[in-house]
Amino acid sequence: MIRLDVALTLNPNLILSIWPDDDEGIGYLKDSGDIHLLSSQAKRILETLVEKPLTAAQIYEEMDDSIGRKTDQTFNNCIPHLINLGLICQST
Amino acid sequence: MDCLLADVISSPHAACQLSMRQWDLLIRQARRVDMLARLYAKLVDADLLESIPSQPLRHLRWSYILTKRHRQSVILEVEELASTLSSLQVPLVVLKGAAYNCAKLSPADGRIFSDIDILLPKSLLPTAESLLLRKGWLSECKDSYDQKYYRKWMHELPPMRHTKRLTELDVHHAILPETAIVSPSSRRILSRIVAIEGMPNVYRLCNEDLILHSATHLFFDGEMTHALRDLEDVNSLLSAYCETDEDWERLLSRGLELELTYPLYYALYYCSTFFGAVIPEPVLKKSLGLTKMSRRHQLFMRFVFDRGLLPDHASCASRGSALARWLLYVRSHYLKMPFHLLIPHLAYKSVVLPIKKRMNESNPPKTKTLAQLLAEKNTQVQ
Amino acid sequence: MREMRYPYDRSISQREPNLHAFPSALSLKFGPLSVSVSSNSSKTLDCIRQLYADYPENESDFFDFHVSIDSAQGIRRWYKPQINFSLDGFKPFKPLPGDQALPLFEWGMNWCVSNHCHDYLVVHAAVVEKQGRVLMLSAPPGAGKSTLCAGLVCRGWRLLSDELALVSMSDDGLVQVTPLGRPVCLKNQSLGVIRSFSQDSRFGPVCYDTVKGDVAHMLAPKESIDRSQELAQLSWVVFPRYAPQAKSVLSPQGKAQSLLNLAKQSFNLNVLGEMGYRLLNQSITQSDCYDFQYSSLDDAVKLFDSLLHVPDTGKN
Repeated sequence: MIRLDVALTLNPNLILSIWPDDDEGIGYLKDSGDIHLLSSQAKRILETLVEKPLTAAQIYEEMDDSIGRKTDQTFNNCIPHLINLGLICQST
Repeated sequence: MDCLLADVISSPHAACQLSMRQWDLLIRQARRVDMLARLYAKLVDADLLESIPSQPLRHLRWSYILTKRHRQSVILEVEELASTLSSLQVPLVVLKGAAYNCAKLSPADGRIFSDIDILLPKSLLPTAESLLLRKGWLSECKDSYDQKYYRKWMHELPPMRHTKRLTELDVHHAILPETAIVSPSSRRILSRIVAIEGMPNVYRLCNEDLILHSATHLFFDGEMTHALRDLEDVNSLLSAYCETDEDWERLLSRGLELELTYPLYYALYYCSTFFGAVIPEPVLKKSLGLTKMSRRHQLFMRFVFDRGLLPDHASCASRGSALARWLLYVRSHYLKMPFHLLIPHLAYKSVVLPIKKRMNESNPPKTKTLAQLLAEKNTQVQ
Repeated sequence: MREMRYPYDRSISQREPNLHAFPSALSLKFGPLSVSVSSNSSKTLDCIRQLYADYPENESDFFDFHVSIDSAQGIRRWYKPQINFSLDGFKPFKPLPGDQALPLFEWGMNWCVSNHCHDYLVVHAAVVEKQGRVLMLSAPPGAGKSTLCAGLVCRGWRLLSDELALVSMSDDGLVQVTPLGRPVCLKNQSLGVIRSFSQDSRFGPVCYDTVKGDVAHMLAPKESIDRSQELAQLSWVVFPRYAPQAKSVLSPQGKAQSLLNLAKQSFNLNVLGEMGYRLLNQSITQSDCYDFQYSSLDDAVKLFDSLLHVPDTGKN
């Protein structure tokens, strides 16, 4: 079974910037110098799931409606972005 | 020859004794030939940073910061190229700066190489070009004359630039044009390439060929603005790879094999003159003998290179500097092309092109570029 | 600009074709930098002297930059005269019409700073200071950043820079701004706006029809020049936008969006790599960030002065 590991330290090439008074966050990739905006949904997903290795189904369970549990779109857009940034990692 | 920069590069300890006025001159000379960061690397190697006044030191450091970032990006770029061109199923040979950077060779430290050069078999160039196009590498030459010129006479595709990252790429099939007075065999060069550790399918030239190519690039090229810097590349390769008599022997015989005896001799001669490189007397003598140059030819070459290799800066100018630089420019074309091709080419560059440019300036194209349209839209919004 | 003819101008350039040997040069210091300016035209040097009369001379034999603003020779001396900017013989720009020496010098100096000074994150922003706290105004050209900067400077804010903010990290991990204290470049209507906003403001000569329109420089106040070695901590990052007839509104802007905005206005973020990002991140983290829409300078100055009454949250 495929599990998803979520940790803020998974990718040593990434600097993650989040602020308590802002819904959005920033991910900076050191090697390319690219700056990525983390949407408020992506940030919520991270906060909800961090340090919990879960299967995709469990992730879906964990998220409440405000993140977009009912709208698969958000889920489908955010997870690949977070995987690209190396914040979420697949393991078996 | 009087050049403060060359003196300090060859013996960095001299930097500790300089007055502020001398530092002022040194930084200006180094900036002119783009060697600020290289100077920094030399001072780091000699563990001298502590004894350098902070005002000039920061200029060296600023420039070094630029090269550090550049090195990272070159390696990323080459990795990407290797995957883009993997379907060609031939080794990706990187040349010059890209090779020094990927293989972490001595000339790379504190040095920016503005473009990436790769060497591929001639028959694969069209395929390579279309693979690169798909990954965002577009040809830089808009002028149809230039396009034809490159494809017909030169040893490379017209230079390409990546649309997003703006890196420049030169795809070569030989190290000199086929029309040049010598044309080293690419087959021979490719037969001795060396794999670069940690980068699958990425190769560099063998040690001797690295030196020969670097020397060839310098002594066949009219663009002498950064000649001292380029000579220092050769110097640093020599000190890395030529120690024993066998090393020197291999270098000389490879030079003969690739018909590059002449750039090799001048590289050796000037590395010892400018940077005090230790080159055994018999090696230098034999190297000169291999060139089979007449005495008069030698004197001419000495006249132009003595002057042309120095920084193009008022402080290094002497009688004949401007003439020497002009002669080098003409010579570089002549070396690459026989006269019956060269004259029409130079005529196009100096007569037709300026007229074309002026006409474009006075009659700007009627159609608006996308950028202009966007700009107009934005101002309307505001 | 004074249209005086200097009788010796022509005779010297005829006798002495080597421009670099021309003896007359200006020695200037502003902020952390020293510059030697030479020219084959004494008129050009006089114009620059008007803007930089109050600046100290460089006492050292070492100059950070040797620049020259030379009039083109040959036919260009009579027919549509042109001038060139060069740094040690390198010319980063195309020649400009002969009467635009001053804007060319200012743009040239901006180029020198943003392309060389990599100890700093160089941000395209105006920076002013009051009570030890720095206000950074960052915006694309044409948004009214320099006008706002000039307005604040006329009302007692210290000028650090109107165009380039030099951002660095202090030992205690907070972001500070190093002053440059050069004249404020104003364009078109802004000239009249500032002239009537403050009777005390002093201007250099106006250059008409440059690529950016009519341009003139407001001289930096003497106090700003004298204190140009004094660094100060960043407190506010503001993205201004001039909107005619609109009410002045200061609206809080999210940190992430502010960081993206400021990144777009940074010249050397990519050169500095990770260090650059850390500076950017800390700038945003320790500052209050706002979008600012304005039309009246008076309102704007009042609003920013009122920010001073909100105590510095001193985010460490």
